[in-house]
Amino acid sequence: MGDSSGPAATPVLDATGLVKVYGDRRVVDGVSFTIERGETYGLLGPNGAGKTTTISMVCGLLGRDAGTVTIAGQPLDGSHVSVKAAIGLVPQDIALYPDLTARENLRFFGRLQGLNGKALASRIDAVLEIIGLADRADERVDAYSGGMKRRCNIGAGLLHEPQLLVLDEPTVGVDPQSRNAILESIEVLGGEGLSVLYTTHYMEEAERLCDRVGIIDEGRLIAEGTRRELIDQVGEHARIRLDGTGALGDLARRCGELEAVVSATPSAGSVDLVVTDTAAVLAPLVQAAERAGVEVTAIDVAEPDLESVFLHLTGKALRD
Amino acid sequence: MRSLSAALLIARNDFRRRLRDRSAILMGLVTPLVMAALIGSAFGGGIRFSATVLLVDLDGSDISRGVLDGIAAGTPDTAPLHYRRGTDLVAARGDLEAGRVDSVLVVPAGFGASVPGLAAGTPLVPLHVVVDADKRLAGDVTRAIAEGIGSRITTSVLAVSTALAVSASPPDAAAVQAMVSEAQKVTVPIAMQQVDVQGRYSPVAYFGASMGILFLFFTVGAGARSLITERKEGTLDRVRAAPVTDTAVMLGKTIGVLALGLASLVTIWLATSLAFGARWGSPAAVLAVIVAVVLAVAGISTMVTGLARTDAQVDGYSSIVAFVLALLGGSFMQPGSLPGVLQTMALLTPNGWALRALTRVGAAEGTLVDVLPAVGVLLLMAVVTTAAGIGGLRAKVAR
Repeated sequence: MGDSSGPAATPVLDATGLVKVYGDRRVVDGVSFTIERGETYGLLGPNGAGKTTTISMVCGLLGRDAGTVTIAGQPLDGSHVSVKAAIGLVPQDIALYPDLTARENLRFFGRLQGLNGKALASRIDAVLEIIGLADRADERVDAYSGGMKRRCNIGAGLLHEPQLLVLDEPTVGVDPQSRNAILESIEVLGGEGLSVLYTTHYMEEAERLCDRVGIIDEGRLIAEGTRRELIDQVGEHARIRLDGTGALGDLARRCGELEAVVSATPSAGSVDLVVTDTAAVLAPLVQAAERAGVEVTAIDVAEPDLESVFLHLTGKALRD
Repeated sequence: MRSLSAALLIARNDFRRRLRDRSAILMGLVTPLVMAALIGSAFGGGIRFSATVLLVDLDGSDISRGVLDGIAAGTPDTAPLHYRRGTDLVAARGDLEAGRVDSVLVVPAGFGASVPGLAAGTPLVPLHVVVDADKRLAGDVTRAIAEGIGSRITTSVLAVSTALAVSASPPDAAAVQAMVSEAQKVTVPIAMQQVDVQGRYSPVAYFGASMGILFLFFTVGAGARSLITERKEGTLDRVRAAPVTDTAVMLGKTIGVLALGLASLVTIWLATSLAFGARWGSPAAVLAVIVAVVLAVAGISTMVTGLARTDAQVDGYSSIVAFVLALLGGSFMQPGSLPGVLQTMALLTPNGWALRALTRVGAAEGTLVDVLPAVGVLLLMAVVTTAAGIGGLRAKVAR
């Protein structure tokens, strides 16, 4: 998928110091990030954080007050519109003409991207297969279900085999089944080497899809890295709650001596632990319980996630 | 992708989508044609003038009788004027209100007695005209007759009195009698020419054009409005994310709108010609006017859309502008039957200029050269209004 020619070191997207100001409000304030070839990058933030404004600038839809955007080594500005052919945009809304069929929509947007003739027809057929609408391609889009429209919306972004697929919250308002289908298809595309910029305010989507995540809040990119790096950056640890009966104080003391345990606190009917490595601590924990004579009734593990990272960084939840 | 091919692609897509939209067909073609057929047939296939004037003699003098006889004598048989005589003003008003007559010319009491005094500078007792506000043309014709009578009597009497003054003998009873006799002999030469254009220019052609232009504001306006709709629905972003310039997008949208407007008016032209036998006149002249008025309406729609903030505002403003311009421009009534002020105001509207030009082409065998001034004014309107609205529209596209 995509034309991956060019120096391997050249990122498919390099956004530097992006700024957008409306009146006296800096909606995007110095956002910088890069996306390497084949990488899926997530912009994670609550509604109104500046995600859509950022990708609008990246796609050349919105003027920048400061900053630069380079697509596959080519600067994106008014005099280089051909650079935009490297991007496949999937807007948050169903950006399709409802009174046209799926095939007609794809044909129109394909032609806008410069495809024609057999190459266009072939790509349309291929995309219809990818999005699972080959058998209903000649029905009007307004007759489709919400999930079908979403898939067609994604298909229109894939048509011209872009180097970078930009998806702006593609699962908003989608039923769980369709949502899962969309996420699966993005995983497949990412697995085939397509670079993806994915914005979402769903932590679990970012964790599932993205190689790296940029956390954006109030127009600023406040942290960036892999999931593990982000968790490590803020020092978040997993939490284990062990319910049982017996010498819970003794068990807490024994657990405190384990290498991966940061703290162990006994309470009524349970011991609460903060650990750096859940996998490394579970077996020794069970052994320690046996030695302390504690009968374990339940073990509840809470791994650190991006939600907790966001909470740690901003003091608020992602969906506030 | 090159800008022009991108623009044409966008235009073709818009045009095709509008053709699939039944409301666009209804608004741009069916409704104007139905309206034109209805209004046109209401005029009976032609617009003719005919009036019955009630001549009321409240004076009862020889002079008043002579004058009224003179009116009838001065009216040629071919003139579309018919007279009735009466002596009761109340009954005359009743006849007017009942529609039995179209206007009333009254010779007031004292009229005959005032004639001899003219020589001494005493004014003539004026004739009165009672009109029906709904029959302005009949009223205007009757007023003209009354003014003609006054003028002819004054001229005749002055001629007699001048001749007497030159003879140096003082006016005596015989001289006064001579004046009265002259007044009695007054015959107002009523010259009325009704040019019958029925065979050449049918009302269906006029109202086909007028309704077509009125509904052009809605079809073209909907096209301009589609920019706001597409921006809201996201398709504009997808188009702009392709390797095309914003100028190409704007150009494409404009071409689509113009093609739609042209298709609408040209189809009305062809349909009224084929179905109703309406003759519009020189195809080159008609086409020039159609192109110019479509550009003018597109310019006005651009201005309205550029100034409005929401879809609802665009719809509201477009409706107001369309109907105000249609009313002022003669889309509902032919300009000839409008008051003078409104006829002048019609020239502030694209409707007025286009209809005036098309009427000239259809009714008076006008040529392309004859409509060039109107085409020039329409193009000027297009340029000015487009310039006023393009900034706002561009801001809406580019956010």
